[in-house]
This record gives sequence, C-alpha cells and structure tokens, in this order.
Amino acid sequence: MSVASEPPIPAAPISDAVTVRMYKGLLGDCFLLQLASAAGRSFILIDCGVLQGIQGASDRMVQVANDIVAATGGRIDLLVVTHEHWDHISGFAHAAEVFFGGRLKIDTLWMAWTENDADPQAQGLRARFDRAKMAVAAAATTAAHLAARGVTGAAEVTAGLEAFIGPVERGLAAAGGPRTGRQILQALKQAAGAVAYLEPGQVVATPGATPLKAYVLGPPRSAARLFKALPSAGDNKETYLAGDGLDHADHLLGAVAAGEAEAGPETPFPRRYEYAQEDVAHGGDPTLDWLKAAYVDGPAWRRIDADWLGGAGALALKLDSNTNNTSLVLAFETPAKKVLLFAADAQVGNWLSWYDQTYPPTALGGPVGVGVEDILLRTVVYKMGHHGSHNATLDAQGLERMTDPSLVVFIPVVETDARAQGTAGWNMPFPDILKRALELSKGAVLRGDTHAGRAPDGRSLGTDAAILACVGEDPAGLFVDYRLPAPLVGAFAATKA
Amino acid sequence: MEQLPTAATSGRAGYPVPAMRRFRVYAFDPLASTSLETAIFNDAVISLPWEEAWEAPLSVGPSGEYLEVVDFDPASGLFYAPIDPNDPLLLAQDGLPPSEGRPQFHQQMAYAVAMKTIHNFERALGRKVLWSPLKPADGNYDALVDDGYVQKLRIYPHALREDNAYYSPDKKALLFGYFRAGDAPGARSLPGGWVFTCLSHDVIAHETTHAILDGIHNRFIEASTLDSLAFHEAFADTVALLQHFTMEGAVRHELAAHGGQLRVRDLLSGLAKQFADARGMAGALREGIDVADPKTDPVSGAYASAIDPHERGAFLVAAVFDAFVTIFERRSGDLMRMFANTTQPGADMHPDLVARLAGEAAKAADHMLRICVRALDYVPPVDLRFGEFLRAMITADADLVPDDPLRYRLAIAEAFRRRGIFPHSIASMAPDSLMWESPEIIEPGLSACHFNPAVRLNVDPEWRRPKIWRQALDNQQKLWGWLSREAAKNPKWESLLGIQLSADAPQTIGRSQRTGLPAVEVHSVRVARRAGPDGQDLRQLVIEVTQRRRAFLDPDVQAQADRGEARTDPTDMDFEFRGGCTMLVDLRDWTIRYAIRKNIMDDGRLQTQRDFRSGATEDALRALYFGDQANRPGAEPFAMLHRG
Repeated sequence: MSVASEPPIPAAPISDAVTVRMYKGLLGDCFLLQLASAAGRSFILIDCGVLQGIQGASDRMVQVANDIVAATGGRIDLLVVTHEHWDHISGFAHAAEVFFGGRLKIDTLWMAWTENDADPQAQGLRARFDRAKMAVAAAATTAAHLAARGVTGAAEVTAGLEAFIGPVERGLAAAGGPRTGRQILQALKQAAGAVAYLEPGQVVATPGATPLKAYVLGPPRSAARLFKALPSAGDNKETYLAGDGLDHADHLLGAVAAGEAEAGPETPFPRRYEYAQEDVAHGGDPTLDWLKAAYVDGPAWRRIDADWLGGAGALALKLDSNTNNTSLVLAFETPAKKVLLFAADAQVGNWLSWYDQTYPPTALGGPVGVGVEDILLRTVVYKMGHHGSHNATLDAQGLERMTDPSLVVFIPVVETDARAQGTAGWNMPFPDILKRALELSKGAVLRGDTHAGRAPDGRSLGTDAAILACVGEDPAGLFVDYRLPAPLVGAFAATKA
Repeated sequence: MEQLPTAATSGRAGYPVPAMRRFRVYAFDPLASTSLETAIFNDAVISLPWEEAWEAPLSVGPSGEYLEVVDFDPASGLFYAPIDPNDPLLLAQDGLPPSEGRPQFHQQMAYAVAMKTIHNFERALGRKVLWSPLKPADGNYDALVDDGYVQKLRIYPHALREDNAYYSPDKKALLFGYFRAGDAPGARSLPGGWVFTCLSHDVIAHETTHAILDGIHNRFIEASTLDSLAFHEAFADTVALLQHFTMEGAVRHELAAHGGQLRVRDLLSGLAKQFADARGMAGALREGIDVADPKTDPVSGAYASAIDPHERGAFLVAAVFDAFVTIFERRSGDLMRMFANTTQPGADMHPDLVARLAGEAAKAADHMLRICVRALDYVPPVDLRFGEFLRAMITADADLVPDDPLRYRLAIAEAFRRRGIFPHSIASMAPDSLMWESPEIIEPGLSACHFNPAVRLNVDPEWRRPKIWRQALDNQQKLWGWLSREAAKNPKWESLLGIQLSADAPQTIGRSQRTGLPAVEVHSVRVARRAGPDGQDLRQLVIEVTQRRRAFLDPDVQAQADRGEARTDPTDMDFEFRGGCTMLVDLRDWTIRYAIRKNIMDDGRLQTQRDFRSGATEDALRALYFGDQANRPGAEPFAMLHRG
C-alpha cells in the first residue's frame, strides 16, 4: 500500500507514542488512535456510531465528532469503517456537518472487500442482504399497521424487530445528510481522498507520517465462514441450513405482498373456496357464520393474526449476524511488535477464518507468513468484539491466547442501554467473557460506562497501578485515553515518509 | 347444517354404527404422486374409529373430540370454507380424493393424520390423550374457564406463508405454513410451485407429537440442557418415521425394491421429502439412517459435541431406527433364509414373501413405537437426557413384557451404545443394569409403603376426557395436601422424591403461601392400563412432583441466596432450576415401583445447567436479542426452533 505524501505538519519534537482513545457512553464503537514519532503525528479513526433509538444519541455523537476535530486538527490520516451497522457508522449521519461539511478531512478510507461495489462476490452478498433487509422492514411495517389496529400479537413482533430497523423509518437521521447505512458508506467513499478495500491475509502499512503495520484478519471470503455465527459440532450442518439462511426473505416478502395486493391476494386456491376476512366478520350465510363462530368469536388466545410475521425475527437475527461477520478485523503492530487487535463485531465464523491463512499468505516455496496464533500472543490491546456479546469473542482460539501480561481490554458498551433492548435486554457484556477478560488483563478492562479501574457498582477491579498511570479520563466523561507504555511501543523509523 | 347420523343418533334410525370412518390422504406427500414408482401407493386411506357415544360427534371443520380445524390464512386475509365430513357424498367415497388445489382436502388430511397419531399414542399409553392445560397470560389462574381444560387442539392448515410449521403451546394449536418452491428446487419439484406443509404426513405427525408430548410433560419445553429441546424434536421425528411402516403399500414396494432390506436410505427412512426437495436439498429433510454405517464407523464422539437441537436429536432418532431395523431383521431372518435357499440370486421376491416381510416390518415398527411412547411414563419430570430415555425404554418394556426372547431390549441398548448415548452411573449397558432402580435402593424404609390409604386417591375408571382431567386435578390436590401435611414430617420422602419439604430448605426454594413450607407442584397423577402381548395387564399410577429453585450463575451468590443472606427477592434469579420425581405406583398393591428423581439439591446438575446457559448455543444467541424466549409468555419455542 502506498502512503500518500502529506504536507508536513509543524510539530515540536515528540517522543514515540501510541494512544488509544475510546469514546464513552456509547453502545457503539468509536476509537481514535493517535500515533506520534519524530516524523509527526498520525490519526486513525475506527468507526463512529451509536445504536439507534437511544436517548440523546445525536447530541452525544456531535460532541464526539467535535472532539475528533479538536484532537486531530481537522485531518485524519485513516478512517476505518468495519461494517455497515448503525452502531458503528451512525455518527457520520448524526454529525454529518462535521464529516461532510468540510470540518474533518479524511485522507484514506479503509473498508473490507465486502463493501467494494466492483467485487462480484460482494455484489452477490449485497443483493441477498438487501432483499432480507427489505423483507424485515416490510414485516415490521405490516406488523406496525396490524398493531395499530389492535391485532393480537402484532405489537410483540414489532418489539422484537425494534433494534434491527434502520433510522429511515424513525426519521432520526439529520436532515440533508445520509440517511441509510448504505448512503453513509457511499458518502464516506466520496469524502475520502483515497479508498482501499482490504483482503484477508494482507499486511499493509497505515497511511500517515507515523505508520503502524496492519494485519488484515477478516472478513473471510469463504461463505461457510461468513455465515457462521455460532460454534457447532459435526460437519453435516448443511442438512438443516441452506447457505446464508436468508431464504426466508422470499417467503416473507411474498406473504406481505399477498396481503397488500390490489387484485386480492395471490393464493393457490380457486376463488370459490375463499372468504374474505371482512365478510366473515359480518357473517350472513351458514359457512360465514360457522367461520365467524369458530375464529372471530372464538377465544382470543387462540388467534393467529400476527404469527405469520414471526419469521421476521429469525431473519433479522440471521441478517444481523451475517453483517457482523463481514466486519473488517485489523491487528495493528507497533515497532516493538506488540499488537492492538480491533475485532469490530466479528462472530464465530470470522474468528475461525483468521486461522485459514498466514499474514501475508504463504506461497509455495516462498517465505512463511505470520500465523494468527502469534498475533494473538502479542496482543496488548484488545477491542472486544460486538460490545462483549457471547459469540463475538472466541475462547480457546481467541481470548485464551491473549496471554501477554500487559493486556488491556476495551469494551465499548453501556450495559444499561444494552439491558433496555429487545424484550428481555441484551446480555452485554456477557458475564463469562467479562470475567475471563478481567482475569487475563488483571483488571485492566476499560468500558464505555465505567471509570477506569472500577466496576459499574464502583467496586475496584484491582487494576495494576502502572497501567492506570497510563490511563487518562476526560473530566467530562466523553472519552478515555490509554497511552501504551513505552516498551510496548518501541521506536518508530526515524525518517519521514 | 343438517345433523347426520352419529353414534349417538343412529340408534334411533335402527342402522348399525359403522366401525370406522375412512379418510383419503397422501401416504407421504404430494411429491410422491408425481412419480410413477411411488404414485400407486401414495393414495392411502386412514381408518379412524367411529366416535363413541360419549365423545363429541365429528362435525364441520372437521371438528371432533380431540381436534378442530379452522382454516384461516391471516397473511392473505382469507378464510377457506370448512369441509363437512358427514356429507353423504363424502361419506360414500372416504372423503375427498387427494388434491393440492382444494383446501378442504388439506383440512381432511391434517385432521386424519393427526387423529391417527393420537390413536397410536393412546394405544401405547393405555389412557386418553389430554392437551396441556391453558396457562393464563396474566397469571390469574382463578379466572380460567374449566380450570384451564382445553378439549380440542386447533389446527390451522394455512397459518403461515413460509417453509415452517409448528406447535404453539400457548394457543394449543398447530400452525402449518405453505410456500412457493425456490427458482432452483430439487430434481422433482416445480420451480415456483406451491408446497403445503399440511399435506406432508411427516410434518403433521411431527407437530401433533409435539402437542401430545407437551400434554404429558409440560416441563419438557424448557431448555434446561442440550438434550431437552433436542428430545422434543427427536421424539416427534421418531413417531413420524415409525408411522411410515403402517403404510402397507409403500412398505411392500420398498422392501421388494431393496431385496427385503430396510437398512437403505429410501422413502421410508427419510422425512419430509417434498419439503426438502422444494428447498433444493438432496434427499430428505432428516434421515433415520446415520451417514456412516454405525457398525463399521462408530459415531460416538459426535453426539457429545452436537449443539444444534436437530443435529443432536438425530442421534436419538438414528438409535431408535437402528434398533427397529435390528428387530425387523431378527423377526424376518427365517423368511429371508428360506427365500435364499429357494430362489435364484437376483430374481424378484415372491409377492407373498414381500407381504409377509411387510407384515413383520409393520409389527416391529408398531412394537418400537409403543416402547417409545410407553417410556414417556418412565422419564424424570424435568431435565431429560437421552441416556435416561434409554433407561425408560428398557424399564417400560421389561415391566409390560418380562420375557424378551427376541432380545428387543438388547437391540435397543446396543443401538444407543453405538452412538455414544450413555446414561450416568450405571454398572453396564446390559438391559438389567439399565432398568431404573427400585426405591428400596434409595430409601429402604419406603419400599413397601402403601401410601394410598393416607392419600385417598380416586382411581376409578373414567373414559370421558373432561372427567379424566377433573379426576386427575382432584388427585393432584389430594396428593399436594398429603405432601404438605404428612410427607413433610418424614425426611425419607424428601430423599425419595428429590425435593425439599421441610422448613429448613434453602431460601431459594419458594415457600407456599398456604403452608409456609417449601412450595411443591404436583404435575400429574394419571392412571394407565396397559395390555401386554400375552395378556399381561399392567395398571399403574404415574405421579409427577416438581419443585423450583432460584438459581444463580455464580456459585458464591447461590450459596448466599440459599442461606437467605442475599438476593432474597423471590423474583430475583439468573434462571429457574427444577427438581422432582416421577413415581410409578403399582395399582394392584399400591407399592412404589420406581422413583425417577432429579434432585433439587444436586449441585452437579445445577453446574451443568449454568454451563449450558452461558455456553455459545443457538439459544444463547436468541436470548441475546430477544430475551429468554422460551420462558416468556406468548413465546413460540417451536417456531424459533423450526425456523433454525
């Protein structure tokens, strides 16, 4: 990867440093890496978003965007957008004025191969995802209409889909700015000076005066990996699951369309057997009366008016985890060969695929690339996958390999917001994973909803004082900085790019 | 609509009541009618006993004593006219002929296959099938009509427009879906053609079994271990599969085609072929025969690590199917030897021989199905493992048929062993070691206890379903009272039942508002009368007692909460942990034959459930987004499971 030449930034002599800034108070990701060496300062922004439907989200994101401008002087060397989920990109819409109004210059944009419009495999994925998205949205709309008419069970369907519906339906996105996830990505591609789509196995240097080496771990090209959200045993899974699991979209769209068709629903039966719901409600002939007595006047608890929409939940879930698996996962390496791992929202299949290649891929007879085992072993900063959910951090082949005594774990989560989602709350961070992360890092877990070294209830986590000394918190609570201890950073090359 | 003669009215007309009602159905599904090979036997007839005088007469719907079909298609906003099974034109031709384009045939087939499944269960269980009681959505049991008795399971043949069908425990209904095959379905489906799950014999039998099983074991829906959800699926598949062998035409055809062999993947061993073909899958949706021949390639490790409910359940289905085929092979060994000695190799089998083999296959399948169904009375009330189901099968069979010359029980044990399904803490996999222990091993003092004089249960024969239900309810009350008054005084009962009855029980076990003592649920008290092949008569009382305990993921928190030092709010818990006991009482002398326990104080079991709940399973993923669906009112546990 070529590094674009930059106008020199006048800077006082500075020592080599790597600082990770996590913006807090977000159920969503927004990280700013600040790299400093004699060659100058470089800035990498990784994602910028908060989950939809959270109070005050828009104001918060504007504050974050303003802070990014202040911290970087209005220019970032690299923007990494990991995947098209609202909790990773909504900030670009909430603060469209900052990102697209000329207040922040983006030199280079990195995205996964899955976002490359010219890539045939990506096009295929996109078409399938779009259809599923359309089906979920259609089901949600229909369910909302039914709910408004007081139809039994419809409100439950809508509630289950809440978290999956984009901002368009809610009218929350800033006027004039991009409104859907797709529009945000397109706008960013336009705004950035250069765009690169990364492939698993690549080893690249981050753009800017002070570069880091970056290993591209995911997303995988293999469909089997991409569509795997959960661990399983046995290899005959295809017996029950066909491909990406999104086939249901066709049924759902067909069903929704059936109810809305102008000429009456398309059914497999001759019209003479059919009785419209409205006619049955009135009764009038023996058949209508029988149907009315059996269903309309029958016990309410037996009605099935909204059950046919229930499949939308499973579809939304599948679509959600498929999208999470398209996460761009990067491992940045410091000159001291320590690693900062940003797992985005990668789920099981993405994690497993890291073992499918070396970095760079090893050609027959060529030099042997680095294995992910080695990368995990040297990890000193781990940005936990998917806000600490149970299936976005692999245990034996993931977390358990991060044995570096200096490990610090970032979890961008607001537990109270997570608990308020869905019908019974999302279990984020997942207790077992949190517990293990606390053990492995000896209490060095930085969360979006606590003070450094403290659990949510204020209890001390027993974090090493030396690590706490490297942590700086914004007095206003907007962010937390972790400046890597010098031995973990090493010496950047002295020459300027 | 004019009332036609039924058992109740025809006596006045002086005509005899017919023995059977006959309904035409597809033997498999509409796909089998599109191939010359299978079309001849795909038109089948199901004969159901004419309703008794005390049963609800069969009428428009069809609607009868057990089922009511209501054909509402909510996605299309349409109702379909119901069939009148008493119309003379239909009575004279065994109902409507098979047709995909006539919704009334769909109603007829769904009704007939579901009723056939119900009858198979009743024959094996030795009692009437009852649906699980209605649970009030608002928790107010006092407002329930008839104390929650639900006479009829409802069938919606066209409830969903998707490739799914499920049993809804809250609605007491079977919801069948229909859908268009994809653009690139399997070899035999029409691209874009309609597929109806309510026309698949397998799907109907499967869903009906879910409902029946829920009526017997209400707690089996709770996903407490990997095995529990898998069991529901596996059992439903097993019933559907074994019912294939009642289709005589199909069995003859397949036996003739495969030289008398059943260990071949064919129409009989696979489930829901049309459904699978329409989705572009090769073969069946699920198979009774393992991928590898278990004789040469043990699949032991795979069961232990299988997480998906269907994947895991497949091991149980394959084990039962394997045992069935082994039994068939023993029963037909002599015929095959005679055939081998008198016929040129490669020649077609004589039709008489095929007919005899088909008879043996039907008999073996029927025996196997009955063993499986009877075993349902011999399982613990909560937290069932496959290994325990094996013990239940062996014990249930040994009780009814003490002599086992064809070694059925060994064939069953062998088939489970090959798949790595083992019960815990038994001496060996020999059938006698697999039997449940008698209670004297647990509590010698109670072995000869004749407890009824104290409890005064009513076990008079009843045949009206509402009365049976009412009787069971009264008995549950009596037993509950006895447990609270008498059993609580004798610590031996605590040990035998695996529950806590005394005041010093852990504080995580809720207290009864009426007694102040640990709350106990008496789930069922049911009377079974079973007849063995040699006239054996077994009269048993099956009693299920369970208890709840608030459980916490952290063992330290658990210990504190048990002592009542923390987390004392009765609604505060990470999950609900259940224990209890199934007691089998011999009605001849009122002794307790078996006490099949899941101790509420078993820390090992509690830890297993903690691990399960924090594990990365399909269920945990759903729980992340949708909350603990299975335990939420209004949830559809089977809908999610089937949507995969």
